[in-house]
Amino acid sequence: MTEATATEKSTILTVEAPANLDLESYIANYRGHTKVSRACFIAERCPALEIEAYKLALFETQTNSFDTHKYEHIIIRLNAALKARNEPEIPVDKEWIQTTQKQAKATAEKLEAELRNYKNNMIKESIRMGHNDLGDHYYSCGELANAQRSYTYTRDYCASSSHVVEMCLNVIKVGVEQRAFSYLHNYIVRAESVSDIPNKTNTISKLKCCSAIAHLESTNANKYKHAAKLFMEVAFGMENSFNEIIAANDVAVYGGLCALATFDREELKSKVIDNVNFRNYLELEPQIRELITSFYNSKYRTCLQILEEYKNDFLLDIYLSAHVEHLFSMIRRKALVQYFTPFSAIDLNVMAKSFSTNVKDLEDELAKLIAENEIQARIDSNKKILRVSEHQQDQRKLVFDRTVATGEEYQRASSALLLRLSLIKADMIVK
Amino acid sequence: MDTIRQNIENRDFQKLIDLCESLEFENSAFPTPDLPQSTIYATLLGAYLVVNDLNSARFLRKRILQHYKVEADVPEELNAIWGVGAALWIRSFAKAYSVLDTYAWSTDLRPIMALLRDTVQEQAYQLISKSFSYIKVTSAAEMLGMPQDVVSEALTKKGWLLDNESQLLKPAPIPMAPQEKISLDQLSRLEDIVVYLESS
Amino acid sequence: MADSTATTAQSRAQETSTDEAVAHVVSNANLKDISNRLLPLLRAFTLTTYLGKCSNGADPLDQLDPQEQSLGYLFFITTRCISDLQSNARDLLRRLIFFISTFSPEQVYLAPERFTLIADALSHLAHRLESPIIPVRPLRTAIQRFCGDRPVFTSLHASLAKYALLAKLYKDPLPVLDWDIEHVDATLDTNIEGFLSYYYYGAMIYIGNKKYGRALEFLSLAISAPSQAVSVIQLECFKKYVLLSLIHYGKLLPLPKYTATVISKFVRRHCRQYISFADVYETQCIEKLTTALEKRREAFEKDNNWGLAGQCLRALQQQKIQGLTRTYITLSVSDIAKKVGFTGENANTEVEKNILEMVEQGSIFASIEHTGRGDHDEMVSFHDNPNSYDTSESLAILDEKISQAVMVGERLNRQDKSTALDRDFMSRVSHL
Repeated sequence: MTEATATEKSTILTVEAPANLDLESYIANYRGHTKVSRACFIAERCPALEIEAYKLALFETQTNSFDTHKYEHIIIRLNAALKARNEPEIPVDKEWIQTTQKQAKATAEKLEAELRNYKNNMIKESIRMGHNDLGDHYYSCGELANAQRSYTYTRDYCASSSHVVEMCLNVIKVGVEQRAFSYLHNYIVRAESVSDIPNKTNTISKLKCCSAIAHLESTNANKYKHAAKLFMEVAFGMENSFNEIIAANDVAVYGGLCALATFDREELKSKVIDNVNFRNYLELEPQIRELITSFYNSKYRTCLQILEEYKNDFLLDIYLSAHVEHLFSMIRRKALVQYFTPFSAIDLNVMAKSFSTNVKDLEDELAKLIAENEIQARIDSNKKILRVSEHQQDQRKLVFDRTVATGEEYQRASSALLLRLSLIKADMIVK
Repeated sequence: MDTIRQNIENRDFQKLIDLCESLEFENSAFPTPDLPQSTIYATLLGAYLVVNDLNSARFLRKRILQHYKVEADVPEELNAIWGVGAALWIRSFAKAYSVLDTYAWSTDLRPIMALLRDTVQEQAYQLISKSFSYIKVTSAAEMLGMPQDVVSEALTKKGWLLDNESQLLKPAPIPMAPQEKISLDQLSRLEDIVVYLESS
Repeated sequence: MADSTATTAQSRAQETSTDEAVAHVVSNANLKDISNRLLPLLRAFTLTTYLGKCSNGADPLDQLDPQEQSLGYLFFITTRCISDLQSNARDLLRRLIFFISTFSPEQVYLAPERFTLIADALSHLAHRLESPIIPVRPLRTAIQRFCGDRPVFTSLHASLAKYALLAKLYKDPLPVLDWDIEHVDATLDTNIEGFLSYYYYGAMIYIGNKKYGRALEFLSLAISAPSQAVSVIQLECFKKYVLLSLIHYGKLLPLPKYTATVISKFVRRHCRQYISFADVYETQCIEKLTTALEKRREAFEKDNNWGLAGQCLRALQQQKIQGLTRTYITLSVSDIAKKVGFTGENANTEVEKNILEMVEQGSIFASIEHTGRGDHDEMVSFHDNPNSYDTSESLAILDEKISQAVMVGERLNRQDKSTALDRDFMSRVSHL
C-alpha cells in the first residue's frame, strides 16, 4: 500500500507556474467539492501555487463542509509546504474539528431517526426526502460511498420525472467525484430518457457535460471525438448552474481542444466555427477561439504557439491534465498533414519555420507520419524537400505481389492438407 | 578433358557445370588415372564463379576440404581459385582482382580464369551503372580492377561523363530491354483470380 | 495359404544352394508368380545363399538380369553390398548403380523393406570407398524411378537428404526435394520418424541453398505433422523455424492452424530463448537485437543455429533500409547509418555494402551518389520499382502460379469428396 502510494506520487508531474492562470478567480468559478478538488490538484503539481491553492482549499473546506478528514489532510500538506519554505505553519483548528464532528454525528442521527419515522408511516415522498437529506449530509461530510447509497435509495420513491432527474443528477455528482465513470453512464442514459424533463435544455446540457467528461476517462482518439461532439451540443444558457462539476469556460476549453484534435476540416467549420451556440462559449476563452481559427486558416505557427503558451494551464486542469500530451500531438500531426495537403512538393526549411522547429526534427516527424501512411509523400533529404509520391506503380506491384502470393499460398496450403490427410489415413502420427 | 575444353571455348558454362558435377561423382566412384579429381574440382569451382553461383562454390570448397581431409593437402591452385571466391563472397572486388592478377594459373585453367576476370569486371560494371549516380574515379577503379588513369578513359568511351574537377564519374544509363506489355483486360482477369483464390 | 507357403519355404531354405536360388528367380517370370511364389522364398533365403557363388564358379549377379529379374537381383545385390566384405566394392557399386537405373518399379514395389536397404548398401560402399558423395545421385535416381510420375514418400527420402548434407552436395537432391509430396503409404516401409527427418534435413538443404521460403515450408510440415506427442526433431525444427521466419518475413509467423496443441505448448515452454529473441526482433532495434544475440550465443551455438541467428541481424538491417525507401527519396549514407542503427567507424562502409547488395538482389532500387567533398557525405537516392508488372513475362509467372494452384485445388476436391464419406476418418482428423 505504501509502496503503491509512493510510485503514484513519483508519477505526478511537476508543472511550472502557468502563464495565464489567476488562481483565485479560477477557483471562484466553481462551487462545492470540485473547488477543493481542483485547488488540491493544482497544489500537488505546481510548487509555485502550492501554498495559495492549499489555503483556498482549506478555507473552502472549513467554511462550507463538514469534511474534517479533508481538512486534516489539507492542513498537513499545507504545513509541510510551509515548513519546506521556512514559513510559519498554521495551527490546526482542533476546536472546529471537534464541534464539526459532533454536529455531523448529531445531524446524521437526527436524519436517520426521521427517516425511520417516515418509513414507519410509509409516506413515499417523505422517505425520498429523508434519503435525499441524508445523502446531502453524507456528501457534505465527504462520505461519498454513504452519500451514493442514500441517493440511490431514493430511486424507489420517485413519483415524478423531476424526482428521477434529481436522483440521477445526485448520483452523477457523486460518481464524477469518485471518478466512477463507467457507472455513471447508466444514470446519464436514464435521465436523458425521462419523458418530460423539467428545465429541459439546461438539464440535457448538464448530462452532456458529464457524458463528455466520462469520455475523457481514457486516452483514446475515438473517445476524444465523442467528447468533442457532446461539448459542441451543450446549450449556452447553462452558464454557472453546473459549476459544482464544470464551469462554462471549461466547455470552451475541453470542447475546443478535443474538436481540434479530432475533427476534420469540414467538421471544424460546420460544427465549431459556424456553431452559433458554441461560439458563445468561445467568447469566454478567446485564446481557444484564436487557436481554432488560426488552425483553420492554416496559421499553424500561431496555433502551436498558443498551445505552448497555455500548456501549463491545461496541465493543471483536473480533467484535462492527463490528455494534454495526446491532444497536442494529435493536433500537431493534423497540422503537419494539412499543411502539406495542397502541395505536390514543399521546402522543408519553410515548413520547419511554420512549425517553429528545425529541419532535422521535422524530417523525423514527417518520416513517422509517412511510415504510418498519414502522408502520401517521400522526403528528399538531400534537397530538403517533401514530395508527393506517385502511387500507380506501387499499386500495380501490390496487386501483382498479392496475386502471386495468394496463388502460392493456396497451392502450399492445399498440398500440405493433402499430405496431412494422407498421413492420418496411413496412421503415421507422432506418438 | 576435351569436352571440358570444348565447353570453355563455347562459353557454355551451364553445360560445363553439369558435366563437371557428373564427373565429380563418376570420378570419386570410379577413378580414372588420366583425369585427376583436382582438375575436375578446379574447373567446376572456376565455372561456378563465372556464373556467379557463389553458394555452390562455397559448398564445393567444403567438399574439396572433405576430399583431401587435411587443408595442407589441398592443391595450391584450388586454394587460389577459392581465394577469388572468398573475396567475392565478402564483396571485395579489389581482393578478387588481386588474386586473379597475381597467381600464376596453370595452362588448363588460364582461359577460364581470364574469363572469370572479365565476368567479375562486367558484373562490377553493371552494379555501378545500376547503383551509382556519381562515383569517385578511385572507387570505380577499385571495383573494375583497372588503374586509375585508364579507368576514366575507358568509361568515358562507353558514354560515362567525367567531372574533371571533382574526379567523379557519372555512369551512362543502362538500356532497358523492350518488354511486351499486357492489356488492361488481362490485368483485370488477374484481379478476378485473386478474389477467387481468396474466397475458396 | 500364404502361411503354409512361407513355412515350407523356410524349411526348404535351409538347404537352398545359390544355384537353386538363381533358378527360382529365373523360373518365376510373371509378376503374379514373382509376388506369390518367389517373394516368400527370397525372404526366407539365408545369408549363405545370397553370398555364395554358383557351382560353376560364376557370380550369381552375372546370371541375373537387373531389369527382367529385378526383385531377385534386389535381394542379391543389397545383401552383397551390406554383408560381403570380400568382393570388390567398386564392382558392386557399378552393379548397384546399373540396377538402380534399370530396375522394374512394379517388381521392387513388392518388397519395400528391401528397397529401403538400397540406402544402407550405398552407405556401406561409400564408407569402404571413403567417398561420402557416392550415395547421393544413385539415391535420387532410385527415388525418381520408384515414384514414376506420382510423388509418393519413400523410405529413401530421408536418406537422400541426410547423405546429401553429409557430403555437402546441396544441389543434387533438389529435383526430389522440389517435388511436393502429397501422398504417404505406410506399407512402403515408411514411418513418421523418417518423414520428420526428411523434412528437417530437407529444410537444412534449402537453407544452404538460401531458399528460405521453401525451407520454412518444410519445417512447418514437420512441426505440424499429426502428433499426440512431441519428437525431438520437431523441437529442432521449431528453433530453425523461428530464426528463418525472422530472416525471411521479418516477423515470427504463426504455426499452421492445425498444429497439434501438444506441439505448440511444448515449443512455447522449451524454446523460450528463441521466442523471446523474436520479440526483441520485432522491436526493430538493432542495438537491442545485438545484445540479445550475444546473450544467447551459447544456446544458439549449442543448437548449431548461431549462423542463422547472425543472419537475423543482417535481415533486420536490410528490412530497415527497405523501410527508408518508402519514406525518403534521398538520404545521406551517414543518416541511413544513424536511422538503421549501424555504429562504429565502419558504419558508412557497411551501409554502402548493404545497399549494393540489396540493389543487386533487386530488393531495392537505389543509387549512391559520391560527392567530391569527402568520405562521409555520400547521398543515396531511392527510386521507384522500374518494373511495371505489366509485361508478358510477369503474366507468364502468374499463369504458372495459377495453373498450379488450380491443379492442386482439384486434387484436394477429389480428396475431400472421398474422405467426407468416411465418418470414422473425419472424427479422427479433427482432434489430431
